[in-house]
Amino acid sequence: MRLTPSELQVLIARLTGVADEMGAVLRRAAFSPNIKERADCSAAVFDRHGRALAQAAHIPVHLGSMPASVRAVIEDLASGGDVPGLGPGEHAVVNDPFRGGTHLNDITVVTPVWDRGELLGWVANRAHHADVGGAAPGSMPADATDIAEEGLRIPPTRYDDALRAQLLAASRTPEERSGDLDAQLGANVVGARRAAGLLRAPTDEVLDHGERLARAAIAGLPDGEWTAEDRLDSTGPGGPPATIRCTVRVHGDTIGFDFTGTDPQCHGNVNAVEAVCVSAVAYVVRSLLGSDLPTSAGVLRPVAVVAPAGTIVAARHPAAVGAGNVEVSQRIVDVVTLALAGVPGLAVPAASQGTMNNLLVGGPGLVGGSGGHDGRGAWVYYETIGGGQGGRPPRPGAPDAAPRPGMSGVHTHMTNTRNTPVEALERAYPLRVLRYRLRRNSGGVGAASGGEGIERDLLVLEDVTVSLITERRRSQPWGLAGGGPGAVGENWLLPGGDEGRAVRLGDKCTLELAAGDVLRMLTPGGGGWGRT
Amino acid sequence: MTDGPQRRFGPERQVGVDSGGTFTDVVLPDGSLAKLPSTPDDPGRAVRRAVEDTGHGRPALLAHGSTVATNALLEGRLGRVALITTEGFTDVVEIGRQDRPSLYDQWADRPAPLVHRDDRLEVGERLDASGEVLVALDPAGVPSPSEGCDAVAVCLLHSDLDPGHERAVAGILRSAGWDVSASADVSPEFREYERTVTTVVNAGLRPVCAPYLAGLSDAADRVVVTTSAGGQVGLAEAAARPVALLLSGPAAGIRAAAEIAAACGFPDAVTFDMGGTSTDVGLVLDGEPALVGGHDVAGYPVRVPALEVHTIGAGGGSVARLDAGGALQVGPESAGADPGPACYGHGGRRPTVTDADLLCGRIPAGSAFPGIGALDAAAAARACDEAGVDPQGVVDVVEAHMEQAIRRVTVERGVDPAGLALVAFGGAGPMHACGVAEAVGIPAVVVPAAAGVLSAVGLLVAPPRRELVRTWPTPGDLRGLDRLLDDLGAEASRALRDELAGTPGSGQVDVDVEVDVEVEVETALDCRYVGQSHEIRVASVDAFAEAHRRRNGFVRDGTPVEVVAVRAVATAPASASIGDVLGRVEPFAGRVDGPVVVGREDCTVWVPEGWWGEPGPLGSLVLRRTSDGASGGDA
Repeated sequence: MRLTPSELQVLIARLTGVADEMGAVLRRAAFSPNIKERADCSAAVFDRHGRALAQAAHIPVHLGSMPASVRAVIEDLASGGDVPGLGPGEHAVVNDPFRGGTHLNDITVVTPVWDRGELLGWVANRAHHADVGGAAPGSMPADATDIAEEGLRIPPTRYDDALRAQLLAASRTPEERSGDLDAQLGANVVGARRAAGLLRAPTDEVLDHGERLARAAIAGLPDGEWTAEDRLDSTGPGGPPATIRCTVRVHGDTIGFDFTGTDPQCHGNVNAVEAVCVSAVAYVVRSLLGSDLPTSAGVLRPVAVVAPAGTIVAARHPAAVGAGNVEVSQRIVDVVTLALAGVPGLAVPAASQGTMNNLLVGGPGLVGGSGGHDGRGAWVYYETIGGGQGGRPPRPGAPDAAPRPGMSGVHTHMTNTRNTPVEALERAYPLRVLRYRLRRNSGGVGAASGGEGIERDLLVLEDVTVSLITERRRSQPWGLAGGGPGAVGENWLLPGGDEGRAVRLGDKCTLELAAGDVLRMLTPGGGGWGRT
Repeated sequence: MTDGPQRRFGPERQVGVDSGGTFTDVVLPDGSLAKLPSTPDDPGRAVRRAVEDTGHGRPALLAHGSTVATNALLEGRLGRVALITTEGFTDVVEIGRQDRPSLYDQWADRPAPLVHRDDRLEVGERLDASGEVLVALDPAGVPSPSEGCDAVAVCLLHSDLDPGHERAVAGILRSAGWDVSASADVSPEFREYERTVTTVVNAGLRPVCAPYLAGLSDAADRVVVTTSAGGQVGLAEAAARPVALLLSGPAAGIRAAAEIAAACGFPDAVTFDMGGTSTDVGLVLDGEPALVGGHDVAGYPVRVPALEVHTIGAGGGSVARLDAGGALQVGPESAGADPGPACYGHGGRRPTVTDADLLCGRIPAGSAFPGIGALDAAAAARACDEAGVDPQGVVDVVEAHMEQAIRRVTVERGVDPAGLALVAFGGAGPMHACGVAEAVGIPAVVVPAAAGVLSAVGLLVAPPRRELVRTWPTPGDLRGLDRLLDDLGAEASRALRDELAGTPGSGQVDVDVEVDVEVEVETALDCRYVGQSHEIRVASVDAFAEAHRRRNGFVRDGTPVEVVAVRAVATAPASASIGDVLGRVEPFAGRVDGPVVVGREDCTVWVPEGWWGEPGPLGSLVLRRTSDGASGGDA
């Protein structure tokens, strides 16, 4: 090794500092609450081959999928050999799920790091844009069957005014898009400048360090093979359930995740692309094998993911993929976690709520406050709602500690966005929250009970279009080690707010609501861990 | 800012006492500095003893900074609080903002909800988003808290727009004998979770802080406490709103550092307070520390005005180790005060930053720390050897962490480090300041004369201060704004005057106070562009665009600006100036050229090779890079 232990750590700290700084600049300059306050964004630094050196991820689903964007840009925009077609000061933009993206809302900006005529590496950041066109406000129509219905698709493309104009024209909220895109470009300019001073260091050692840590963690597991499967409620409105299957193989200091046996991609939008699958696996590896593992690509070297193309965990064009990022990713985590629960000696919590309870509301903007409206008067409100976390065994490394109940009303696994405060929501949109509290006794029983879901009643004050993309409305979040399952979630429409006319809604649907209607959502509880 | 007719008594009758977890720092009237061991079982004992030990009789003024509130919150020793909410919203205090503290650590818990489920009570009432009553309050429906509760918090939806329902509920409960904190009085700002937490923390702290503060009331003619915003309040106000005291000591240190930096010719500076377990970094622009509308303590968002402090969990006690991948990690684990670093000789076996400092010669061999005694270099060396870490490497890594923390409050805000000074204080700050400054590109380091007890100095120079805030109910319509600002300013001014005059009921004895004190009032607005969810505090709507450019890097011409909240701050001149206090402290003397260690009673300064220093104003030491010009000069 050429670097001393302290030189290596100082380099890692500085590279991480660049990613953090890019993330901070992005959030600082971003216009939309979705990026600024909910932090649905990530930033990372890559070497010249597109291998991640450090990443500031605010959302786990970006963790393993950002490198795919950079790789696609390098491949598609290369002018020959490994010399990219992007010069100093140029940027590429990509959101195509089939070419380096995840779902269309996630727009990634990739920028080369040039220094004195030499390409040293790349910086990239990704942000969730609230609306990129498509058939419904928020660009995740629950009933989509083709990606064309989900908005503007951008393969790796050199950024220029024409591309910008195209993006803004496609969106229902062009003002917001414009501000957020500027923030993304600005973050990369800052990142590229600062990374230029660091990327002449022997960054391979950063990757090797991550690899050694991951191998050491994996080597602590016994060799073996464990298989699990779990189901998604539906592949779209009224669609059939779909199964995800995963076999985990540990051999020495390597681990493989094989999704052979998973159902083919479906007619609905419940499809994840491979990058999302890799992200979910990377999340579980970090969260169960060592939350202090670094974010470099080295960590994934001893990790193999086999996701057969054309399945719901590695969908191909022209599948709709709106629910892949938000819902399939959660179920992949559940399946992988359940398989790892078979590994002797590994501490594994019970299933968490297993959904993000996506709620999208859009209206023409006839009444209401000013905050959520852009210049055209149309508005889009997107919220994901927390639920129960799975009950937890004693913390790894602290076997004497007590099992811990799951947290209640919390975002778990692949997302961690904050809610919109009720007071902020009501002042910005023609909406009123009638109830927002924990769903008592919805967690699975166990030595460590599952966390509770949330009850939330939303009154709409004008006619609106609503999309719901939810899961665990039929299958329950499972318990482990003798613990019971968590309660399933429920979606209800109360026409005119009348309990007597309440109608149970499907797990995925798009519907028109009239002023005075109430939408009730009960989110799932977490599974329990251990016998009571 | 303090000279003039408002001086109420000379500095010779004032004492500053900053009580921390390990040490109680004291600045005495004769300019001497003292560190006494704290008395955690009864923190007031060390404070009273410090005052008695002055030998100057009963002081006219005791300026106090306290961790009593902070420790009670961190250690879960709040009173039992009942919470009254709008029907349907009892669990907001537990759901929080529905995020979790760690993305990847599934065992990391959110901070415990501060109100037990059985103590969360609801009342039928509801306002709409403009503050109009949708469901009227039925006074008979106000629930009764369980007898075991010590205090009650009331936080109703949209009460920042109209506190009528909330005040009615509070009144009913007070009549029944309860100690009540109403959110409209504690933190009248929108966003229900933050307002609820702030109110609950206040309610839970009152039973803890009131007796403590009462116990200090006769320690001086007048006793004041510094708030998180770096202003003084009297004991009655402190006891009524203890939630405003959580950053008492750090805020005082930043305020003193800001004044010292300005005196040394650096109106823009970064404050760098490195202690045993953590390091506090703050930003000062135009001589003023940055003010924020709230801050986090132990994961609880507290919405009260505060000086902006960025804290990282690394300090002198941070433990160094090699990870399984062969990189040298420092922290987040800390050896704490017990056993402490290996060189303390109290049984610590793992190497810390302090051990590395000793082995690298930054702490002179044979040094002794107050209450600890002579440092054991052999034990430090043994600990490093056993862990396989190189002492210089430990220093390099911890300084790399500090570098990131300082970048966060400067570069990430669009502030260029090249125009700043780093003001280093706290036990370990002056030992690492030059290395950190060099890495970030800050050209000068200022070490105050009382660097080891700077917070105690800051307590004495903090101005009496009162800040009031109100939600502006019609963000896009500013008609009537000026009148509200005038009214709010008058209210803040009146509150401050009443307090300084020692109005009946405040419990103060203020024989020396002139009632006709000069009070200054400033007003401010929390503004944002329509569509944003983050506000910036500005003096006027016209100032918003420039402030937004500075803070966020861009402006949006044509996007309307809205006002979310209005503020009024009343201040009176501080009773002592920084010159009064530091004028009596032994100054740094003589030019120093690195590498050299400058040992002081209260701190140690490390001047590395390539740096030199000379005495500056207020007894401080100003350090610069040799390459920036041999003789220095004013920056």
